[in-house]
Amino acid sequence: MKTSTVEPGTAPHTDTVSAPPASSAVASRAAGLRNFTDRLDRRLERLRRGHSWTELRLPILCVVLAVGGFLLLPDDFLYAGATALSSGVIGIGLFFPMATLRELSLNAAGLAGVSAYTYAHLASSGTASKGVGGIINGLIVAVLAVMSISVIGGLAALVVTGLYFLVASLVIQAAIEKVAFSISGFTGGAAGWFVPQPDLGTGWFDTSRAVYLIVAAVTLAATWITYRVLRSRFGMHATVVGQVPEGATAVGLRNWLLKLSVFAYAGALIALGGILLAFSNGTPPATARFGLVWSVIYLAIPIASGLKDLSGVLLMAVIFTVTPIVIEPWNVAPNLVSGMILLVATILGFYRGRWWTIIRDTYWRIRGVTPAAATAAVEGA
Amino acid sequence: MAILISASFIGLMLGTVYALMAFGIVACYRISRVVNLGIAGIAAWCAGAYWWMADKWGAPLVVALIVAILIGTAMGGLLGVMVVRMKRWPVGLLMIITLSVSLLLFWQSDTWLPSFNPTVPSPFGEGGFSLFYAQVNWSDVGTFLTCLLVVGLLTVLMRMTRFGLFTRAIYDDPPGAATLGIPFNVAVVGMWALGGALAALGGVLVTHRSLLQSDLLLFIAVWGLAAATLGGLESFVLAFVGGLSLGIAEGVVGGDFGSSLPPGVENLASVAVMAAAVLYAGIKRRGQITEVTA
Repeated sequence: MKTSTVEPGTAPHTDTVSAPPASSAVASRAAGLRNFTDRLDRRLERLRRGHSWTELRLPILCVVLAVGGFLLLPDDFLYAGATALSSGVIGIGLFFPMATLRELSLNAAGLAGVSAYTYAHLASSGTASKGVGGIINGLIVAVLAVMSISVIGGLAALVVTGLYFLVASLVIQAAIEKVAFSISGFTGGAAGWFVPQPDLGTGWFDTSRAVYLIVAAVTLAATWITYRVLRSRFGMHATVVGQVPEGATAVGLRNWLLKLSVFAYAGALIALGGILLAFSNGTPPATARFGLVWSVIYLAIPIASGLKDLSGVLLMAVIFTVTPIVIEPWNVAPNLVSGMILLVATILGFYRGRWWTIIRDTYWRIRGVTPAAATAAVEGA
Repeated sequence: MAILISASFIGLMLGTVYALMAFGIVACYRISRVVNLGIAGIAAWCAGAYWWMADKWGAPLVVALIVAILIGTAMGGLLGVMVVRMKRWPVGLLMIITLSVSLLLFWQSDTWLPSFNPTVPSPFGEGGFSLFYAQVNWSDVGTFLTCLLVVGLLTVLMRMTRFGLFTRAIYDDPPGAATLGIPFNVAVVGMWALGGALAALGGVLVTHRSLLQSDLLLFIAVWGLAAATLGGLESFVLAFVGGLSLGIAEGVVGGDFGSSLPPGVENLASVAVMAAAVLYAGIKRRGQITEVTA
């Protein structure tokens, strides 16, 4: 930050560091620290000019949490982390049609279940892996199958919108639950399907850590790709179709094609989330985990995140999934945990701008600058 | 033919269950355009209170039912006050808030209900008669007749009373209603209290057929939302019809043809019926909006 733009009367803050007295080691350390913070300020300022700081703070937090989790978490929490990231991918799959077409779906859990069972069915022969060929086959078939179902569900968006579409998506969930999940040959029955995981034995970099690393890498890639897709020509066109359908038609966009493409992409993400759930668990979860109630919870994740950005969705999914696992030893009722998380997250999400303002103003006050002067300085820069 | 009639009757009862939960959703949506998922929690809590009063305290069933409905009214009213205070919030977030209220009420009722899922006694008594292959209980008949009575009373309330007029005015044109001096807050809280009362009634009657299991009530509430949506989310009569359509489709297709179809496939037809119904309702609704706009 540049002192020249700070108004007179505010607390002094110098850009250049005065030389420390040679006799004082403490003063030297203080000066070094100030030098470091000033360099950090300048770096952040450069970053701010390239990208909005508002845009970057949550992604940075996500990456820090993911890397910190990989390096520091014990094995049992690694499983929680991997499950949370898988739920995050499903949340992003729901966020995409919300952000573009403004359509809510109540079938994410069912779609994730279809992909989890399909992948597990093809990647293993019940109790043993079918090798790389089986895994690739399972991945392709599961993703394509869920994309197809999602597109079929998306057909409803061509004729109905809003709550009617929500109920139409509920039909897909009901069909999956009542038809697919009642076939034990598909779900694997009581024994369930085996899902191959890398076998790395014991030690620090064991199977759990490898699974977490793979899930985190896939989640990061899916998030980044979705971020780019949202800002691509396709993303912009899809948003126009969702916001101003008549206008989109007038300028020559094919609304139906864009809508179906959005649902195909969302289906691919949800399928990926379902596969990751099965992969991190070692077997697809029971059918109850892919029931209607879970669809409601998955839908709540992007809504409670404030529908602002992808990293917010990921963080919300992490909070929602990890918290119940972390506090499990205290026997806290799951409904209490889920209800409180939803309530607090929704309120925090709604007042998010206000919380950031309070944090920023506190930061500037600690630095000895009034918030008004700091804002003026940043805007002047 | 006998199987068809029996299956239709089972479907009718199932549809009544969906319709009961749909009424509360319609009442709240009718005034504030918010989908109130909190009715599942209210239904669970009030059904639990009803069971506790009837089973543990030995209270007469009618008294227990009235107290449960009053509790539901109070809870719905409190949610209505919350909605009034949060009127600047997006309706999507309000829906999530009501979902969290449901989850908290599930937790609260689970703390004082037994770990097994008790069967709630019916206010219409036990026993019944056989109708072809179906066993008809008095509770089923009573529930169905209660549904008819509720639909009739609500229709009168909405069409022939001052309160109903206010509600319709606020729903159709909130700024216009405010200009006319219609008490917005009173109407919102009143309708949400009514929604709470209907949820409590639904909870008591539904949990006699199912068990007193909180998650199951959320499931039924979502199907109730489907029934309400089939009716356009505006009319109690159409919500009732929507619920019956869903239930009969499920009962007839599953019961009549179920034995001749492979596992799972017998449910596919009822899902197809539901899909066709929602698409029809949505297209019809869009047509009405287009007409008004033109």
